Amino acid sequence: MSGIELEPVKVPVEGACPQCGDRALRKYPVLSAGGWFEVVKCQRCLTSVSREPWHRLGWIKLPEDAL
Amino acid sequence: MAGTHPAPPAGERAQLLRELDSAEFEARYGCDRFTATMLTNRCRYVAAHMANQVRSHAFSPVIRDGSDLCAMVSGPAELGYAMAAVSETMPLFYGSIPDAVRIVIEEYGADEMDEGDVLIVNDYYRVGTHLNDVCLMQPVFRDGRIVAVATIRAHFLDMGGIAMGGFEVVKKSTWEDGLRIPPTLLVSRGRTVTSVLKLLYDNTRLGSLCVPDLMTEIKALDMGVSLLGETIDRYGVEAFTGAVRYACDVSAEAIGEGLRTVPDGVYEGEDWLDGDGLPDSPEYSVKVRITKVGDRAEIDLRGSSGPTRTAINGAWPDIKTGLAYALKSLLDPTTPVSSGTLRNVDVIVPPSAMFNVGPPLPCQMYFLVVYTMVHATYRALNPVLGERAVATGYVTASASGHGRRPDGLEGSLVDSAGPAVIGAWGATRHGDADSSQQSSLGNLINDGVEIHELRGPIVWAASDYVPDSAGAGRHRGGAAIVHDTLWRVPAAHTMQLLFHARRPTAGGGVNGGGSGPTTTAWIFDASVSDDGARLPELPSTLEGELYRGATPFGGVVHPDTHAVDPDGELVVLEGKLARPAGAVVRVLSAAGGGWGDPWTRDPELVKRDVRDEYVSIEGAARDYGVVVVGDLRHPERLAVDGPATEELRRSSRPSESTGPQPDPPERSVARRG
Amino acid sequence: MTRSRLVGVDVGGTFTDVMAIDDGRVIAAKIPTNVLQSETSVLQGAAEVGVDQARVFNLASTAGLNAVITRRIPKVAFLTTIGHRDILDRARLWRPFEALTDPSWRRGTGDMSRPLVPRYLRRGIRERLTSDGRVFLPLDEVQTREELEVLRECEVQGVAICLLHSYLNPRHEVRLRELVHEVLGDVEVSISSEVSPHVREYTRSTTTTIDLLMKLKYREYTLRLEEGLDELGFRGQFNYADCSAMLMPAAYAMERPHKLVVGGPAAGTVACAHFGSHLDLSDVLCADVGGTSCDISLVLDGRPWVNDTFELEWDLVVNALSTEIVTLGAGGGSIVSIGSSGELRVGPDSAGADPGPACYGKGGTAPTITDAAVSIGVISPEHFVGGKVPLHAALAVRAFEALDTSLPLSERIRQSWLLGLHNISEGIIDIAIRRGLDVRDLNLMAYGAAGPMMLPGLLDLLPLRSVIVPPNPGGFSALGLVSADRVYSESRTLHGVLGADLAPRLAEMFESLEQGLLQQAEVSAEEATIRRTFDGRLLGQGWETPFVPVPAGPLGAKEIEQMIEAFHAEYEQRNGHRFASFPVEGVTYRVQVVVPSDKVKFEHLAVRRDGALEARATTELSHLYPGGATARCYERDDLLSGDVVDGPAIVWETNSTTFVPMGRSATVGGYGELVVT
Repeated sequence: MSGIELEPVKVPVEGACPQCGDRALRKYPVLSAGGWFEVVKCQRCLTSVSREPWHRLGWIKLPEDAL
Repeated sequence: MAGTHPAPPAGERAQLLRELDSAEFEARYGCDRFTATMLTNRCRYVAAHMANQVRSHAFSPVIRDGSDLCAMVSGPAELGYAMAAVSETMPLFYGSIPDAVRIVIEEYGADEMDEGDVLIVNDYYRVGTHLNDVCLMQPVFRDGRIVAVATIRAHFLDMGGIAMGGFEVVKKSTWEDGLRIPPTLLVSRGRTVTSVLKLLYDNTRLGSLCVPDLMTEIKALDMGVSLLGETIDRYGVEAFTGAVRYACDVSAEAIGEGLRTVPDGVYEGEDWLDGDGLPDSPEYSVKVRITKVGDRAEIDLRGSSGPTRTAINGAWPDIKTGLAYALKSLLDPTTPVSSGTLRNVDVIVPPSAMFNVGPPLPCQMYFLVVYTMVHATYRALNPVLGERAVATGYVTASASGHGRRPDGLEGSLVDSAGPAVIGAWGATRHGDADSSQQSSLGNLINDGVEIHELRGPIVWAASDYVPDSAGAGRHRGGAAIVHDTLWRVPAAHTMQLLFHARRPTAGGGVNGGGSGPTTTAWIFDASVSDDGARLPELPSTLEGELYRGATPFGGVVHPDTHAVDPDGELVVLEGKLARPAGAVVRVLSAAGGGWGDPWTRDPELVKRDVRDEYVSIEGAARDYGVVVVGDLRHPERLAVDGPATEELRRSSRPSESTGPQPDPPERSVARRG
Repeated sequence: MTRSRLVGVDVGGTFTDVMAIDDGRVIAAKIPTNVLQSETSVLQGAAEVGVDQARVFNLASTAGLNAVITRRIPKVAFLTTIGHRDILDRARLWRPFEALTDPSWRRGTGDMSRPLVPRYLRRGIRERLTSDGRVFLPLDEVQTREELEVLRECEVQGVAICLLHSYLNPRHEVRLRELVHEVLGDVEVSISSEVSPHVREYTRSTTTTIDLLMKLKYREYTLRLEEGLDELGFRGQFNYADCSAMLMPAAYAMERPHKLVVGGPAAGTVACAHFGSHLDLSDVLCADVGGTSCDISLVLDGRPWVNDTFELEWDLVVNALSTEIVTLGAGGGSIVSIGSSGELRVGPDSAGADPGPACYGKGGTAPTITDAAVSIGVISPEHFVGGKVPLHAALAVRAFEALDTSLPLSERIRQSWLLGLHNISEGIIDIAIRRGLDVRDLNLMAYGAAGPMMLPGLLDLLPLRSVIVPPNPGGFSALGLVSADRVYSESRTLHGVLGADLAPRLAEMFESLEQGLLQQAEVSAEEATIRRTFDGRLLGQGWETPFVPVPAGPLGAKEIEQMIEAFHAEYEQRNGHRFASFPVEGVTYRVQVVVPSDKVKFEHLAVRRDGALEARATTELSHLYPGGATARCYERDDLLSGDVVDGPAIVWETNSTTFVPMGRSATVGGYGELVVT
């Protein structure tokens, strides 16, 4: 771990939650069932607007990733 | 989404599985409910058959007697190899194994694999836990593609590295931990790749004991793959795949329904490790911030401590172990675990933390980090759970004596866990807790005193419950135990896993229940055993002058008397304590916490506890407000003085102590060694 | 008057089965068990079958087991080495699968649940041996007397004694027993160095405590039975069946009664072995389906497969040779329920005998496997137990209708039936896998009241050779009690790597064990078969491979070599690998003195000479097959050797019903067995 990565930051995303209508959508990486995802989620009701697979080992990089 | 259907929006109540009619069920799972149920059971049985075969045919005692293994059944690639079932095992595996197959086969390449291939892997950065836990995976192919995977994970006695067996805290890097195996072909189309076996022989200390276990595991995988294949041929790939999804949905729904019983809100908790085993260590903490809405939760771990300087670290897969265990044990204790278990939970993980390290940091003691995460989650949720709150108990702590062994190797002189795995549990709404359990995420079989003494030059002199040590409560926690071991040879002593002593979280009571002493260790001079010639008969007490002459080597003690003292100083051992033959090691294993107000405990139960020496007559009055008359030489004549009890409980009730416990203060540190 | 009759009695929790054999003629009786005084049921049965004509009277009883698992046990004390009074509370530490994430789980034998001995009656005695058997702390008689005074005041009825490492040196235990008698007088005492002189203090403690409880349970019981039998005119030999259903004369059994704790279930396996020998089958899977469970066991090479320990409940382990039995919650009374995800479940709860399945009309409302059988039409009310127990098909259907599920009725019934079969098939796979067997090579013997109706259905799930329904399947287990030999056995622990230097010690030990057993059996060496075995391990292993053969006669270097080779062969057979380069360490040595006993002989069934087999009736089968089906119904007494019955068909007899599924057929064999393929 190089130690220079930033904390996961919840980046504001334009739009409204399809579920509750709140505009508090944020994008950030999470660990869940099935591994790591980058999600766009409503911060009010926790509904996921999108969930895309993220790096397979999350924040961890292995030397052999360069292969 | 692990190939399973996405969770519905939170505000809406999803249609529950039991509410689906036959047509809806078939449309969702591609088979009827009976077939799905039956195939789910089948997956569980196949996992159990594989584990039983390994257990009854393995060579090494840790698997055969200790049962340190698990087997699992996973689905096809399009479900992300979701795990449908896992055998009887230690819950310490529960978070990491559901993802392991996906991580390994996707990296190795499903296209590169053939029927009869087995992969081996133990790398914690990929599959979690520690290097001793070696996974073998064999896919089931139909029509040229992977439709299921059988996996076995079992403990390898040694994986190389600087410490025989691996259990050493002070390691600086993964290379000191041992041989790290990326996804590697161990069996190619049914033929073992002998060069890999040689790699294991040449880089580990006990290959002649462990490689036979691998051969047994390969046979068990073959059997599992054949049973799965027969099942899939009989019911079809579609039905099997549907059943894997169904199994995952059952777990997800159960946790979701459990979450639904918690009021929406934000809950925070923190728990601490005393240090990393080196001098001048800070405390390390896990912080959880749980946002709960409807049947889902987001758990934010930001703000937790960074990596430690030693082998007390964990890799990311074990984050899920801590959280899955904590949530299941509080909200859904009985539904079987699968890849669906954490579907309703998202975790925000800081890029570098003691539970999320990468190369080159070592992870041998990952489980200490897992317990810290479990306790942090308990501290967050217990206050809101009301009567469902669960008091915590002991966490594994192990004293070991080192030297040159009869087999010529340098290492621990006793080949069995002995007293290390024995300690108390916390109480729950269902009743009092046992005093002799093992840490909640472990599930090994205890060898017992005689076998322990046959496996090393020691006399296990006593394991006795300490009166008045249990966390008091309407339901009482388990008692603290003094475990005394007489060493018959010179040895260098150390306390390996004692990192939950500074703060009384381990053994913490709930709902007004009390806490008992935390784990502590001392070494007594050979004079207490006449240099090993006499059985030391140390009293089972925590008080008095007994400890003044002893050397504390773990825990929090009074600086002068060395007795257990919550306001005392934390002992940090530098190096090992060399002692001649006749030294006596005493480990006090932490008590379990109580549940509920002790002043409401049934006086008859308090009397029973006095009769059975869990509580003294004085303790009954002081801790429970119950006046018991009589004396212990006449146990059946003990009686509750009803009027005196009523009066005592009315007049001298201690101040109310309900609500969440405040974080205890840090304590000063003393160094030994 | 020559007394040729053999009587076997199997006391179950619900019924007492009595079986008498006289010149191949079987006299059977079924008596409801008087649970609190089961000897009265035994004597009633003995009278019914004419015990005065009997040469032997063999008894298997679950009375002891029931007393332990319901904790209807006398107040006893447990003495052990100082510092270790909580051996029994700690047990083996581990917990079962269903408790892995359950923080409220408590050990069933622990202080917080239902201990066999409460903590204040478990007391530490000042004494200590080390792991080489030497005295480290001499027995402190002053402290001992103080502790015994407490027990005297508490009026315990018995004392179990298990001191650390006493399996190597019994001196302290023997002296402690003397002191117990001095202070407490004539109470029962069991000491671990006699009951089970083997390493591992926990299982030795449980075994010794169970032994004590069984003494208290069975000593009086045996006296009352002996008196009662005497009054009935019985003049023969009274034996108990042990946990592997081998026979022990009553007086001998009372010296080691922990071996009796589960006699009944093993008898069925012995019956299978014995009947199998008539059919030239040496390997047989045995499945006994009764009211509450399905017990699966195994006969290999003509003998029941035995273990060296068994478990009465979680953690209650007893060291005794016992037939390995896998018990599944899939009996006729197993309850069908709906799980939290809407799935059907069968078992593990059982409706038992009271209220029993819904169709009994005794107030049971939960549907069971028996209710499924009645609804399908496999059991016809008028033929159940020969029509003696009335059944109500409408109540069975109503119970299924009441389940909280959207499944149609037919599906509920069909799926319950199939799920029960699936559970049994997994149990069979498990026991086969543990023994490294392929079910394709095995025949399954189906018995117990519900076995013949359920188990032929396994042929659709498992590639078994056949399912065999023996004659009189309802009382088949009890036949095992008149199919066994008398067996006297002892064992000793002696750790040591096998080599020529060990030969003299082993020879001396076997000699003394064998002489002792022959004396107890009151026979000469020529009248008995002596079986020697040992439990050994590869040096470095923590577990043993049991029952490795040891050559008879004098033991020298050559015989030790044979033992080593036999170990490697046995290890390879059990575990699939051979590690010939490892030294072999002997741990436990066992001797059995087998005295042949009279056994039941099965009679040949006549071959049909003329005419054809006629069905007695037909019945409609519902729910099980799409579109329904019509089954032909036969009386078992009408069948003759060589007859073939094509499924779907039902064969009625007094205590059981055989169901031949669609697409299968049953052939009647030479001893009246139905072979379903």
